[in-house]
Amino acid sequence: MIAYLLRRLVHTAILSFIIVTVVFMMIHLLPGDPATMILGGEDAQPTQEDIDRVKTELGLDQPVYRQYVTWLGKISRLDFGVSFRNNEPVASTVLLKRLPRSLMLGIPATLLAIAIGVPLGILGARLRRTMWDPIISAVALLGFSVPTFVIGTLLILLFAVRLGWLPAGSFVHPLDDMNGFLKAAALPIVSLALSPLAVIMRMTRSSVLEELGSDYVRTARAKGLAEAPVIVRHVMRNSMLPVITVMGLQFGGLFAGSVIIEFIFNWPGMGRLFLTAIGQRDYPVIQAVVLVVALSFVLINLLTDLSYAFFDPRIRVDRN
Amino acid sequence: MNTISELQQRIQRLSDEQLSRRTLMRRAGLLGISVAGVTTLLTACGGDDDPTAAPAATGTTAGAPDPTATTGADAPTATVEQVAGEPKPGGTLRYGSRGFGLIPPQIDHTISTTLLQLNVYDTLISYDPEGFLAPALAESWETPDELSYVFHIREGVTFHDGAPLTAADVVFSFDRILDEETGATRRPEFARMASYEATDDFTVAVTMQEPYATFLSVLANRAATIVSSAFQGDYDREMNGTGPFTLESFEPDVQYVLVKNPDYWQPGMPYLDRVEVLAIPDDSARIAALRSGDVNFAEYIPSQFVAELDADPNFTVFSGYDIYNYIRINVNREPMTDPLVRQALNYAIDREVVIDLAFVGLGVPMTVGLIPPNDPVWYSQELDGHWSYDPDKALELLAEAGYDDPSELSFTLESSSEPNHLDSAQIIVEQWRAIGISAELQPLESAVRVDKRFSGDYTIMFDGAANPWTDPDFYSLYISSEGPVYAVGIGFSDDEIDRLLEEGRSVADVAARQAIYLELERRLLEVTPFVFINFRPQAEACAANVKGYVRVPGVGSASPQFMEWLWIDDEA
Amino acid sequence: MVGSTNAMEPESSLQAVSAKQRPNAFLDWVRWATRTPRVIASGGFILLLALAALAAPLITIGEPAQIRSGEQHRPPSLEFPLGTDEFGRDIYTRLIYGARITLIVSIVSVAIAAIVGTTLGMLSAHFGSPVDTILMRFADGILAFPGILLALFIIAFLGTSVVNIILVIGFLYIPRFQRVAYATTLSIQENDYIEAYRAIGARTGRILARGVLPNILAPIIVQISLAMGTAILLEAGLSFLGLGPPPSVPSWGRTIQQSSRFMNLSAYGVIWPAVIISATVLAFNILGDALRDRLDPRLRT
Repeated sequence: MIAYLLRRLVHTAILSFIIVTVVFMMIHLLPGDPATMILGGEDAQPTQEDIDRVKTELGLDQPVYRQYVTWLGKISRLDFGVSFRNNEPVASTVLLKRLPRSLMLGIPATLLAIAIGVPLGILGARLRRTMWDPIISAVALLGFSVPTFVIGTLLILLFAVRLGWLPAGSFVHPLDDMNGFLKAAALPIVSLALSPLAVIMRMTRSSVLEELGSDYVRTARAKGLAEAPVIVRHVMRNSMLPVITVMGLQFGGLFAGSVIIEFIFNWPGMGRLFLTAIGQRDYPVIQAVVLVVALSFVLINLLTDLSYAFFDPRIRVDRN
Repeated sequence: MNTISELQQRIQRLSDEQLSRRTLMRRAGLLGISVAGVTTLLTACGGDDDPTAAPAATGTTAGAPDPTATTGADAPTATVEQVAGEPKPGGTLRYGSRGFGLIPPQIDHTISTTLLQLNVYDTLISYDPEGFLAPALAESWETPDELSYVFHIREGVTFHDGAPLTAADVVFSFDRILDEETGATRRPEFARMASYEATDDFTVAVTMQEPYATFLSVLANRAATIVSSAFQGDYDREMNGTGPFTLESFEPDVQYVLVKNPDYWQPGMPYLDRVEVLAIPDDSARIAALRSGDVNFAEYIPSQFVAELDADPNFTVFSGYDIYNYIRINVNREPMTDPLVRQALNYAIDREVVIDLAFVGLGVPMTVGLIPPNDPVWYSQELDGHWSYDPDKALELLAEAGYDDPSELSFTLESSSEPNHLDSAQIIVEQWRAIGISAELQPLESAVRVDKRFSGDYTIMFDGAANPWTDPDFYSLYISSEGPVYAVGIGFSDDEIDRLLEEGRSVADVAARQAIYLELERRLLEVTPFVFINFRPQAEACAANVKGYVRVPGVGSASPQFMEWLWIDDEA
Repeated sequence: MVGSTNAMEPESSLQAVSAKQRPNAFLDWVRWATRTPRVIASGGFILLLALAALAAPLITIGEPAQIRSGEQHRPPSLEFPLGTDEFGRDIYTRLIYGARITLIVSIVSVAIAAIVGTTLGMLSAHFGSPVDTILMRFADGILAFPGILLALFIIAFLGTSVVNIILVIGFLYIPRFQRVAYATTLSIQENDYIEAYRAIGARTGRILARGVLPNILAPIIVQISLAMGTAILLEAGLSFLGLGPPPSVPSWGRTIQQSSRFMNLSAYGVIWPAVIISATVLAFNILGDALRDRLDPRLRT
């Protein structure tokens, strides 16, 4: 088990290293120049001397491999550097400010998706061959057939603009004003949760169905056990495996969704930071975000795999 | 959602309004009335029940009166007496901003920079609500001869850290702008000074290398801010100005918070206790935030929302035409080397249709050069209507240039992805294609576009801009051989244009200069380095209880720099 | 529930795909498709859309980019069946031409991903360690890689075009197929007939193409159908962020993005493309479900 964990962690490290290296090379090859953006971007017309001077300051006049080596040296000391644009330390911006805000949407959205998706899936399986099953299935299918940005746009139009119940796009820190946070986060969380909810619901339904058809359930039923305990004690537990895989994947995939949701709802999380940083060619910020996203994705995968063992003792993760 | 018939009615009403608006504008142009003034008249009739908003809206003219016509000594101090109602202190303004200012002073980032920079820092000279140059940190000034300026610095002004403002700070600020390390935007203009010195604690004397008619306008520019010589902090992280507000907190690209400077040098101002500026780059999100009350002031209102917000008694809209769209042509790259081709492209576009479709009918076609038609001093009436929609002429010119078959003329128009650009670009490309030209459109990401523009790596590129000052010497920034905005990138150079610009800059007499710039524009139209499109509507909107905003002529959409004039009427 | 109800072994049903082994398979498929309501509905919709896209010039009004000054924001009428957008362009015409883009982008990108991904997946499983470690970590890498950055990168270099968006989506979808192919290949690796191929000394290519591929095709086909739906969503999302095809191409996602700015004046420019995107994705998902039920009874729902 420990050997397995170690091996996975080494893989994680190597993979993240490769991703970050590829990203480093990509953004340095990308047309567009951080120096021009720093010196005013769209509206200004700096001279070549100004640009050269800023490049020297940022170390961008060095050949890419030299920059890469310098950067590796820094990153190995966990020094993410400072933002090109405003000299803010990247680590504190990304990890302390932006990541928590993205999680403030991502975690509730995942919980919401699980809290509604799993019971709905079980319900769908139980109601099989009734008129409700196709209705629930159709709604679930629709849930991930409508683009996220369409849902977001329509929610804003309805709840913020027409009804005026909720703000359209603002960030309130929950420690400052919990009520305000709940209002501000409600629409983005719902938009973000919809697609994973549908996926989780479908997965739950099909794996519960599979379990319901298995021998031990039939035996339990034959013994005259009550339906509810059977579902809770046996079926739930056994059918959670594929559901967990899906949950892990969905949570890992939340970053992609959060870029669009944070853009639409003007939420100052990591997704929006990423878009701005790319637009401004703020290399240290881009790299830090990519590293955080890649690491968390791989770690969540690992956690998912480990949780298999918890839900199904028959599975030993290190069997191969 | 509205019912279909309601929508139909609304669209009908809108197009009626556009029609009358445009007819009126054309007539107004004949009569020499300011175009935007007419718009104001119409918007005022458009159902705005708030009487206090109307006088404020008179500031919607684009193009300013001749700044050289004022002298500092008798120019009025900027006041809001023109605005009806008694300003009340207190309240918080939540401002929805499109772009985002950065902290370092003296670098011009975007138009949104002004809001942050000029509410925390001050310049020597500013504008009054009517758009005339007005004293700011310089209480008054004299011009003993055409090469010299003497500025009398206002006494009793303190920086936010408590240090008093003296002439030494002004000299330090000039030094800082001229220092290459700063990367100051206005360094080339400041480099026209031969010398400057503090003659006493509150007097600065400046001598120019040669007469430079634009100098006072340059001093009023948003990148010509005055900083403290004693300040030892980090200019990237802190701000220490003399302006009406101090910077309380700042999170890049998210929000910054300004709080009232109790020691501000203009008595009684500012009225607001607090200004919270939120970055909301997406147009729809910004409008939604205004509608839902998340913010009570929003900049860059897209034209399709202007009529609607204007008709809503809960909001006040201010609009004008200070920004223009044009296409820069690389005259040194095939197939654009032939001026006939460049002229043909100009005749092949229907500016009215562009305005109708991309800006719901709001906007003014560019029929001459880059000076707005309502500029009373510098607009060349003689050339009015030079560019018109004339596809036959375009085809003739193309034939003359050797393109009997217009489809042989093929090129790609590069544009930003900004809706204000991309909408028009789509329409224009379709119009070129309609007469047979093989035109394609390629949107570019901002950083890529800036790079290409800087290095001149384009055939034709869509762009939008506002003139940094109303003095026509702004043409130097584009088409003089050293023009950083356009000429340098592609290597444009025209001896006659250079000569005329040099001449215009060094003459003080307005009538003589008018003649020179008429000559310059004649040459410009011959050379045709641009496709001239239109002055586009630019609007800000606020909740009806936000008072005191003036869209200053010539300052236009950068007018939120005067936050000290704003106040909130809690009884409204 | 459709299909045969006896407890078929997965392998036997999978072999049903290979028409060689079952001469009647094709007829079986036709019978199944024409008797299953959800296949008729979803498949019919996709077929209709594809036909409309092919016949676009015959059934539409002028060019999709044709701008009509004075006709902007018209409600649906006989002249403009779905109304006009902010530039007076006919929404119906744009949607039909947009269907071409959407279908081409999703079909070609999913095809690329399916071919590359399946090949890599089979190779990983066939060769085992260390090939599988490297190739499967490569798949993890793509999954963990920010797709937006990749899209931006390709666009910054090559410009926005339909081909480039296909490359982006195709690349990003490789791991989906690679994982499925890897898992299913592993599960059939030890089967007798694969052993038989090995015993007669068949080359790797032959083993994979003749022995493995026909037997893992079922889950791949299901995955293709599901990926089509999400590819359409991804294309729309990228277009929404301005990273899709250029504006001259009436892609559905871009249409929504562009028209949503004028939503206060007229909502038709948003509603119709939103409806057609959702309907198309829904159709692919329903078809995917149906195929899965038919091909892979273990996963039958």
